[in-house]
Amino acid sequence: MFTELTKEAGLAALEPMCGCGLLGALKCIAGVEGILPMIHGPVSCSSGHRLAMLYAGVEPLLPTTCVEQSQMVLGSCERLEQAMRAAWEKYHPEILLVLLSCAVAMMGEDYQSCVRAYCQDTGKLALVLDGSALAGDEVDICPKLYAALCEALGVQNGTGSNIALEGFAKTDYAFQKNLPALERLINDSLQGCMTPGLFADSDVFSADGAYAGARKVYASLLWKRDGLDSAAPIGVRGSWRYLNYISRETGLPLRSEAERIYREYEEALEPIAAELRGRGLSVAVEGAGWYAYALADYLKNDLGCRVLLSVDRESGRIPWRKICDAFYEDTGRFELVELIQEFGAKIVFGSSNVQMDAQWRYIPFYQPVWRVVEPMALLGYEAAIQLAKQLLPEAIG
Amino acid sequence: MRKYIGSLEDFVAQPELEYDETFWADYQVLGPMFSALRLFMTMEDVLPVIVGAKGCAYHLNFTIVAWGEIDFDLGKRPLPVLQFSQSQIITGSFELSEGWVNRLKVLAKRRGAKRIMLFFTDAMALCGANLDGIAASLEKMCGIETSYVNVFAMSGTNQWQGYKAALEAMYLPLLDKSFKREKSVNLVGWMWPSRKRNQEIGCCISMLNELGIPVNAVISGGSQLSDIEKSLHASANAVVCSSLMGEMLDILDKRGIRLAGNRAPYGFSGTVEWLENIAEALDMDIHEGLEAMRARYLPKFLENKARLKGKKVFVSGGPGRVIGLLHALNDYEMDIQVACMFWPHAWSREDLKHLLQEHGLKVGTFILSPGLDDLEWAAQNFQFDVWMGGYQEQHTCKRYNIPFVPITVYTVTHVGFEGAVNLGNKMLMAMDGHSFVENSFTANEIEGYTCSPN
Repeated sequence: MFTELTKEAGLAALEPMCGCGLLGALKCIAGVEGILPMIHGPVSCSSGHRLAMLYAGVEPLLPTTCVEQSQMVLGSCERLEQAMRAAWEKYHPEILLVLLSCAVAMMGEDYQSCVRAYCQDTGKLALVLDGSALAGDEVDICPKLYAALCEALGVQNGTGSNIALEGFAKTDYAFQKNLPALERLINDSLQGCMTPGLFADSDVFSADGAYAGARKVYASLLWKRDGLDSAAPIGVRGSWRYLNYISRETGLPLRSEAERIYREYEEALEPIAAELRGRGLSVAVEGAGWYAYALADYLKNDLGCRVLLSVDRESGRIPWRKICDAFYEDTGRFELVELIQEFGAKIVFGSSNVQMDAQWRYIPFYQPVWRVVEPMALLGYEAAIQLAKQLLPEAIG
Repeated sequence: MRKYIGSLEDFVAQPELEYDETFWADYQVLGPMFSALRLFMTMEDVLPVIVGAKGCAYHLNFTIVAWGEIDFDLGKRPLPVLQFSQSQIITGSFELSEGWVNRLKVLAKRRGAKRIMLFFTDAMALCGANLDGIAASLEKMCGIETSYVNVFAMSGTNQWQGYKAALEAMYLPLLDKSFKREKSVNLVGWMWPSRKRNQEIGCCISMLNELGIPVNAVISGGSQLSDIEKSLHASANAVVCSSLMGEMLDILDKRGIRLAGNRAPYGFSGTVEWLENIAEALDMDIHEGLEAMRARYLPKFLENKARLKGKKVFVSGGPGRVIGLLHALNDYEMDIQVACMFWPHAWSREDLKHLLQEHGLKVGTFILSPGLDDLEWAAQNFQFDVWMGGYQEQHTCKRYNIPFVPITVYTVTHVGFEGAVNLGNKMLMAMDGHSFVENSFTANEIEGYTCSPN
């Protein structure tokens, strides 16, 4: 029996899909030039979370203040101040982002005083953020970090023709494939041009960069879960829906040929979709909401699949029964594998945690993904056609 | 953490030169929670449960499963989390949800778990939660023996406290029993289920089998709780990974299980020492068999040595591995310009002293607890022919175009006589342009070199 897990019930999941705030913050800024994250806490908290840098495919530079139990008694501010000074001397970051782990967050020391001293000494920015599990999970910290960075850097919504997808991050699975796919989708159909957002190598630190004047749209890690319109451009209809959403959000009109492009892809998809519909192919999707809701909608409503969906955080604005047949929030790993087995999925999109080659066809979709050297693009029209074609062998049997 | 940069001789002779460092651009050390969990998560009939924050479960599961799932036969393993909310932590209200416990019971039954082992996160320790009480409640509700490992993330700056606490959790409850000794050795410090011949555990077992030395138990990867008890019948403990060296092995030594082979069998010299120590502890004569085994690998070793002798090398590793790698590089008479130890344990100085005094080891610069900044410094200030180190050191090597051999992500054995040959082959392949770094996770591994008797 499948059950709808509410947020409160999420505490009862045996194996949550999400990590703590440290992971969320690092998912946002791993690999972003100019920002140096540093964990104030035990070594374990930095060592484990170096995985965010692996997601982004960059060197795992994540310094730590290596706090131990004894410093929980004596206080850790002096240690933090010394470490911040060393971070500046060695790396000269534009922004030093200090993330507090559970242990030091519980101590409640005046870490802001360390930040003030650092800023005064170096003339550069530093921020301190509570990344502990007590302050929320990885989903909760992303908007907090973004707001703190925007305030520190004076980031505002622009009025130019550039569009920055805020929240679309280098740690997103298949970022290197999806970035050009998104650029193609947006640049071909909108009277605007996509420029990298704050979590994806924007030019925020250059005075006259494209990012400053860009119109900001929230996606991926900063998705507001406010409906399918703003969910990722997955599927042909989903991509068209997303283009219209961006046009509404930014005020930038669609190009005259935009609808023709959409209709052409819609026509190209139809024979494949017709082949799939009615076969009731069972598919499971594990992923972050921005991607996973959109994929579930495409699979169920355009391709006629039975869908099990597990997302990081439920969207209160999207009734799950409209886009899937079984729904879980913050449920992952071994527990999710067993739920997928029970569901009878033949194809599974998700992290390597749910890769079971002997039982179903696995398509990488969500971090962590290991051992897949060449990821496939998921976003935009062309990816929609390719994705549908990928389902045919299992559907036809 | 403890830091040192200078000569190896001074490090060994003057411990006071070590100092506390507050900033660490660490790229390799995994902490006490990881090491303790790894010892239990890779056992067959123990179900580990993280209690407190889910973030710890997320990254610990990843770190263990991503590397062990396929290569070391770990497969997918559950790592449940008993989460407590901020309000529960504040109010100290740690009642267990019946729904959660029921699901855990089903999982434990399916996994054949005979013991549930709890790992508490920092917040649980700091808020003064009654850890015994939580374990007792869970045991009562589940009907499965439940205990906990007395270690937290904040317990230390490296794996040491975790290994210590895990070994204590395994052995302390058994120490009051008496066991009849038999002439066999335990292999300690292998933390995967795999027993594949071409991996380190398979190589060690094969060498011991060939020499007629009975192996009692592998501690603890792939073993069961009953194997821990069985291991107390052995007459000696030998390490496969000497990071795990610790006080518990000393305690067992005093109770009749001799600590022999306390440095993993790397290089020709280290392998001979390891095997001779074990044989001596078991009062066995292996001279003839050992010489025959060594002779099979010697030609290939000498062939490699002809090209490697005098080459400038960087090497890094944990307190077990780097000692072993130094053995191997010293055997090849390479010019070890920089050696880094990721973290030290209580026997590190003794191990290094042994290499200096007994094997004439020479090292240019020794770094304790290296960071990415130290790697950058080394790459800028030395001219290395080859670099042998942790997987994430690939980035430095790529920037400076230095041939790189990863020693933390690999499958083919680096221990034993064949391991010495494999290491030599790898260094030569890297110097000839082979890349061992396929992607962020997976080593582009080679076939192992094995010479079977006859």
